[in-house]
Amino acid sequence: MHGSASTREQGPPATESARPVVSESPPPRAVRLRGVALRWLRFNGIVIGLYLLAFVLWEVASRVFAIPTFILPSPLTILASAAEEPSVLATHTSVTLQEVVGGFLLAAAISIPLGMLLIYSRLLERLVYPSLVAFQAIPKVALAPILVVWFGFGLTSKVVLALVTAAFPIVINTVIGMGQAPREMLYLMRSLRASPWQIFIKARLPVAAPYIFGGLKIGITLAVVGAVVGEFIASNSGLGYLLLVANNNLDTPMLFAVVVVLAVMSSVLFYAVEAAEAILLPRPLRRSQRRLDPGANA
Amino acid sequence: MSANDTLVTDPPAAAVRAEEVSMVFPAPDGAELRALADVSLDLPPGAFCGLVGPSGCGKSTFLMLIAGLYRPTTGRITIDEEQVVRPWDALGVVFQRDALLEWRTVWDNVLLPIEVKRLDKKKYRDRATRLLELVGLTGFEGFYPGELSGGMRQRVAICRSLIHEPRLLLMDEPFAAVDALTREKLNFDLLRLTAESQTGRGTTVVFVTHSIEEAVLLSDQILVMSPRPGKILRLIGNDLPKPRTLATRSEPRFHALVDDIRSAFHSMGLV
Repeated sequence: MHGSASTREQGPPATESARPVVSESPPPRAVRLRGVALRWLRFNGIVIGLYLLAFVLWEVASRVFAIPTFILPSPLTILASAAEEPSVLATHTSVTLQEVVGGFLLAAAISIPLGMLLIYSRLLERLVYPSLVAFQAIPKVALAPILVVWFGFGLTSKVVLALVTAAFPIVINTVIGMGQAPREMLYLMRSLRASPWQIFIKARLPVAAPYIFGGLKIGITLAVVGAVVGEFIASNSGLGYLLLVANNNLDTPMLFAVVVVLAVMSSVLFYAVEAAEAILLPRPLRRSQRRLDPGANA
Repeated sequence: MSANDTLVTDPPAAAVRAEEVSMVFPAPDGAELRALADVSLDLPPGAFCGLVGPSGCGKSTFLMLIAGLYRPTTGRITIDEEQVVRPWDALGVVFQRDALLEWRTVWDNVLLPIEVKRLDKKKYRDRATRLLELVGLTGFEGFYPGELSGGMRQRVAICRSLIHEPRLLLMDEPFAAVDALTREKLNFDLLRLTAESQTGRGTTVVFVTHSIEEAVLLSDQILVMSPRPGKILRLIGNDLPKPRTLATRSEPRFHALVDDIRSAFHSMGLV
């Protein structure tokens, strides 16, 4: 997607003057690593500290005001409940994780090419786009019983539900992204007699890439929703199932523990997509890079 | 500069001819918009031709037609006797906005035409280095366009348009988006880049601008266009001596030419 790596350098933001010269020899590796860790801590310390403070206040409040555990368990109670049978939580987490990742990968594999095709075929766009929108208007819960009839009680029906939940934002963002290449860029490519494939790979796709990743980031969190909803409707495993069981037992700490696991899982998956973006896209196309104004000091 | 690092291209420059070219666009209300009316033109190889006219007179449309990016409604355009039906092979284009690819470094942007045309990149490295040197961008090869100023970006775009030794260079108000001082600097950059391509060798240039001074400073021939639908009103030969420098702008002949063109616009009731 991007040009030869050999010519790309990590240059500082340009000024009209020549680039600064680095003169000192690099410090040893251990010293450098400690420096990185310290800088990370200095940057994130306040955020971590405030979160810890919130948990401490929560813990203190639930003890001081004696809030009943079945209404709002304290953080330590939730932690104890999760630690009671870690293998149960782990097993169900692994099931949900498989459904989410499987559904998401399938959604990406179908939605990205579909979004690209829609740009190149007017007929296809008129044919597919309206039904896509209509399909999105259906609450996905309504599909779950049908999917269970089609794909059974097991993993497959949840994978499919995660897929259909995650697909829409990926398709839409791909379509939007594919239309973002400026007209003059396309004229330039045509003036060089670029083939349609070259125009796609050298201009349209790089311009679309940040949009596609935007869709993927929304998609991955929706895939979690789809999988859990599927487990709610019909299953005997997964975090959604565990949630139902805990609910029937009035086990509020367990309910909270499952919710926390879901939140952590969604976050990890979200940042995994962001990490993939950082690895795959060259610096100027990355979201975090475009947000930073080199002239402004944070 | 020694003889073997000149930027002159070996095959002769392109001869461009337009025969009664008209262009009609469909307007939003269903009516028709006549952008060009019966434009005829004969450009000898190696000419530097400035195209001036009021905004909306079809200058850019005419350039797009020569580039093969639009098809004329009637009439025909030929390059070296061959009718233009798609972009010509040895063609370079510079647009008003630089159209740089943000995710490529300066170096990779300059070499884009070589890549698209599947030419041997190794053979064009020296030329890329030399072009960037001529416009004062040595040392910026690894920078991304987002890290450059507007004038620097446009200079990269000019280097990109010249890398594949085009025999026809089309420039559509290339300096419209940069400030007056930078514009002056870029004018002299362009003069230096094209100075070596004269008299039937090198590159034919068609340069669209709405600045009369710019056209007089750069061109061998100046085409004055009328308001829409665009027609070629006058063809003025520019005999100012070369090489043209900052001093050229204070010569009486320079001002005489500028006044001459301005009076042509006056007679249209435009200025």
